[in-house]
Amino acid sequence: MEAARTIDGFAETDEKQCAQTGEERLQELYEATSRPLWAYLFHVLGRADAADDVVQETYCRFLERKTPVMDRAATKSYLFRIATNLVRDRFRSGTGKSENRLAQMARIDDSSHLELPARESGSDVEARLDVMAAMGQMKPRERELLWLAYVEGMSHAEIAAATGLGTMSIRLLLFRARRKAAQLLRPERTNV
Amino acid sequence: MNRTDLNRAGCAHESELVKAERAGAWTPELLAHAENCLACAQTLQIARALQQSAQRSHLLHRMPSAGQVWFKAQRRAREAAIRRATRSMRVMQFLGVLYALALAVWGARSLVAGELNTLTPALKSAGGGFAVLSSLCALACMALGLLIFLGDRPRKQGLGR
Repeated sequence: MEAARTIDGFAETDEKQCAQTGEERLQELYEATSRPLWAYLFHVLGRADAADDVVQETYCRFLERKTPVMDRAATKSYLFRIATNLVRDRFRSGTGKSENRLAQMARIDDSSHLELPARESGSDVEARLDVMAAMGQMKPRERELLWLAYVEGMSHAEIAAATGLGTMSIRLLLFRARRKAAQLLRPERTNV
Repeated sequence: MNRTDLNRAGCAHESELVKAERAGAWTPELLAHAENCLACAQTLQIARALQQSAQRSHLLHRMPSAGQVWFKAQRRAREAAIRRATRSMRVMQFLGVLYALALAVWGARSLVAGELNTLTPALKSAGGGFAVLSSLCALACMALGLLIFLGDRPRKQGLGR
């Protein structure tokens, strides 16, 4: 069947997809992509509730757009791009700065102040504290670059597409971010 | 490359290393290289720390459901449609008020000029001119309203904006 657009922005490519409602297709996409997206936003923004908001906003924007037919990887990359723009808007408007607890985490050692789930073991909390503290001392753009490169495994071109930076500058910015992160992370807790 | 060779270019094996760490598929050569290359050692240290943090946050956080997101998107689409429709109506209302005001000003001007007595006959006799003027005003308002209505379709915006 020829590709046709539906009102919710999803393109129909075959009979199976035609039979699915927009909500079912969103559910499928959401289950495949929302957790990595949330983790990315949580580590860049520093707050679970802010990450929840941006995740929801990202999918709403995605549905509003008349997106062309894309494979799963391209769709995921597109979602990260929308989310990165939303994060940037948040920091630009000052919301991100005031709500960012990463910087706060970097200065304190008392985990009772932190928004960490209770089910984590002591060593897990310590390891996560280290990561969050290190991230807190980095700029939002550095956090984005490190996450996209080392957790999502994106290439420089993909990172450039997601962040709006030039492909050539990614290499240098990533190099600086990596050097800074390596100094900030305590090796004995990161099992290297 | 050995541990002293860290430079601006980093190491060509970094992306391989990240992929291997993500997939858990290490080759002995890559492992040996990671032990001797400072850039790769740093990359590995950070990749492991971040990936572990990502896994923990995946396990421990309850995400908003897809249904919630769908509901929110639908509600926003409805609100946007209503906003578009009412905006055009508000413009038409504004133009209507403007037209009434113009008429009132014209009437007041006639009163001030002492033509009150002749207003009614004037409306009848000069009815042709007044009707033409009114029709032109109405047409202009309609054209303007239509132009605004047609131009009020959703515009393409930048991502996330």
